[in-house]
Amino acid sequence: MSAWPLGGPGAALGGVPGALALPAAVPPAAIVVTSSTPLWYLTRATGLVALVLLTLSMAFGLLSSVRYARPAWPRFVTIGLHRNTSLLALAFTAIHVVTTVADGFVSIPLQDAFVPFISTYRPLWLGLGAIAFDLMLALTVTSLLRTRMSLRSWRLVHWGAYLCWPVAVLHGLGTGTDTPVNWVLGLTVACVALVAVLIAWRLAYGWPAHAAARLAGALALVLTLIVGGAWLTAGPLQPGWARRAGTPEHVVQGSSTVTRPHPGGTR
Amino acid sequence: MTTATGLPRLIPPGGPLSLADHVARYGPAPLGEQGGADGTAGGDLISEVERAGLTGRGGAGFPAGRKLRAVATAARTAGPLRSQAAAVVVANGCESEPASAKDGLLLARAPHLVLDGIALAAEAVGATRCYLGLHADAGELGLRLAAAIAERERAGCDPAPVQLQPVPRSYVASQETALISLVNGGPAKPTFVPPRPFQKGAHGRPTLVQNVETLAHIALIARFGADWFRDVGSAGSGLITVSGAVQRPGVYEIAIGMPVGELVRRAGGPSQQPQAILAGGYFGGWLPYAQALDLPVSDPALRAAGAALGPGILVVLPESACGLAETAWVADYLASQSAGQCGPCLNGLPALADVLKHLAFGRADGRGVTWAQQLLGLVARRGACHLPDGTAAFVDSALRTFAAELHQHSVSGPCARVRRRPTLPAPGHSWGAPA
Amino acid sequence: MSHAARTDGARGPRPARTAAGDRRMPGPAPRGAAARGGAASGRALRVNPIACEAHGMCIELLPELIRADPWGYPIVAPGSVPDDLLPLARRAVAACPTLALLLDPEK
Repeated sequence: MSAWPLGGPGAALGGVPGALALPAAVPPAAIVVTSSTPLWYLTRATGLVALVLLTLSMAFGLLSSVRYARPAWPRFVTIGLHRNTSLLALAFTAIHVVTTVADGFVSIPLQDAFVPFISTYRPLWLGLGAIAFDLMLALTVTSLLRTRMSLRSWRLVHWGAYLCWPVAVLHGLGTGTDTPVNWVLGLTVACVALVAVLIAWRLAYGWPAHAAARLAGALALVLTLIVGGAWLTAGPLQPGWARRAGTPEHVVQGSSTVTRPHPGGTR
Repeated sequence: MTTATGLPRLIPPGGPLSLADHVARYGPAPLGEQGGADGTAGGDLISEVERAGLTGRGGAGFPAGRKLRAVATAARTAGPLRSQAAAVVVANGCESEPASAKDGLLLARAPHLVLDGIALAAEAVGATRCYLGLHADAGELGLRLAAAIAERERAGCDPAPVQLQPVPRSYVASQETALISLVNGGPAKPTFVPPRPFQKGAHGRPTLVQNVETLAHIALIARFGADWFRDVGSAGSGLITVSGAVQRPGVYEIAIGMPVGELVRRAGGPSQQPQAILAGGYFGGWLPYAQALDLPVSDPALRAAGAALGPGILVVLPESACGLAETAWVADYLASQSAGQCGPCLNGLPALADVLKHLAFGRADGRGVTWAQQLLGLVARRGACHLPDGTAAFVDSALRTFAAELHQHSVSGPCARVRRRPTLPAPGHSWGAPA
Repeated sequence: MSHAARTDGARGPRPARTAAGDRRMPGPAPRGAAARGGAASGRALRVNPIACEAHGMCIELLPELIRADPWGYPIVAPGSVPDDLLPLARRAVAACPTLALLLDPEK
């Protein structure tokens, strides 16, 4: 197994893709040893795609809640796309789970995908993924059975989407080894921006009914963005994140914690 | 005295009767003579009420015997649990129709007749709980009824306890599903049917909702029989509230089928030159005065003429008032009474009130009348209760009866008779109040 | 939550801007099975007016039988649903966000 610095091949060299090895002049900083099997690439890729699909699902759901409609874009199109992207997101998340479990480099048994925080690999951040996955399952099952259950129960579970999506984003940022990669970070920020804008639209729609709840929601949105942004800057984007996030020691190599001067460096 | 076929039957002369006086006048309520609560209970009473052809006196005119039969059957065939099987009786004494005063009078003067009716109906359908709905601001009447109930409890009169249920004063709060919703701890707003109250109502049990006058009639039918009941008028007797431009407005107990003109004469005749009669209250309809005089005071006849009997209401409109202004006022009031649950009502009734205000107080033009008629078609039968339908029927009759005024308003604007504060009652309402 | 969404503004919600465009009673009146000359299915559509929040999905999905009133609420053609429209009617019933559209066996 080769050793790649975090951030994928070439990240240690300032993000130049295609670099295959560390230059000998690079001091050995904290380096994470990771798998190079196709399963690991698949895990990261499907995770990213699932995040994008989940973001789209949230977007279409929010668009429907503000009753967006145009002559060429009836509401059933919004709802149909919401349904399809949700199912696709679940499918890609399932593949993401399976490839993670199957990739034997780090031991992540299947139950870690359903029961949060019991994993030995970055327990908190992986656990968030388990929570998001559980919520996605609950959302999907209840929605498939929507006409056979009470509307109030379905609605209650569906509010869980507001928890599921940010938890999934945090999982990606905290567990994901690609977080410092520019385009991955950019994509994540774009997803967050899209959902944030649509949530703001949702909060404004129907004003001033339920004014107190809307203002509370707006406050929560702003605080989440600020705290999330601060955490991101001080956490995953800082060197040494792998160890701080709970990567098992045998996976973390190296004797010093020399930080690298440029972003996207080893952690 | 009351075994004779004459009147009065329901309202005793003199003041309110105590329990002892009540029993002396009418005899004891024939409870316990109907059989046990094992399915044969009240079989005789229900058949007797069916034979009597008694119709509900709350406004809908639904056959009381059929309702009793439906609740009794539902209670019998309900689940195996004893608690599921027992029915509930809800007596409607709310009288939220502003132009009606008969239920209040009946409850004040003959409370034990109503309470007998509740007890007999409860036995007939196998009910173990009863409620008597009253407007929350009924105040003294509520206290007197509580005393009457307590008196009966001490005497051990009733098979099932009767509980007073305060109801907020709003037009739709006394609708049967709204009453049941209130009894179940929810808001006093109509609910979607099915399930209908006789299937699943108060506490999830088959529920009989009946107007207090109907129950009073049941109390008399139980004692004296269907033939006695039918021996007066075309369909028994009934309480009618006569108001407006008459010398002696008040509640009159009449033989159903009596001509309108005779009832107006009994009320002392018109106090001013009359122009129209509102029959049936705010879900009823306007009739030109001359045309109304020969009509029998009965639901079928009044419906055929474009009005209704409703909860027994006749209002005489004088020449000095403007029918369009009165109609706009009532439409505005009814719009404010919307429970706000159904879009066509919540939106359609205020729109209807607005166009009527324009027709009455502005320039009545053809477009306005067309829009009003379109609205009538848009709101009718599209709500969970009958507020939109009743309002539409009322407005429809006004557009027909006051067609001459409409024409005059379109030519020369509002007439001199338009009063900013019309005379038909609308408690606590002011122009443009929201739903 | 349902009442809140419906009472923004002075009276009632903003009418849904449906795919049909004009919100004031677009198109001809919906015709029931008899008028369309097709076989009747023995099922009838009904709206629970309390649950209905004028989302307008049913109007988009079944314009043959349902049209919008001036405020975006559905007006359902009376009578039995024609056989050929029954699958679409079922889809419209499943699509209603508040499950206000009902398909009943005809009485």
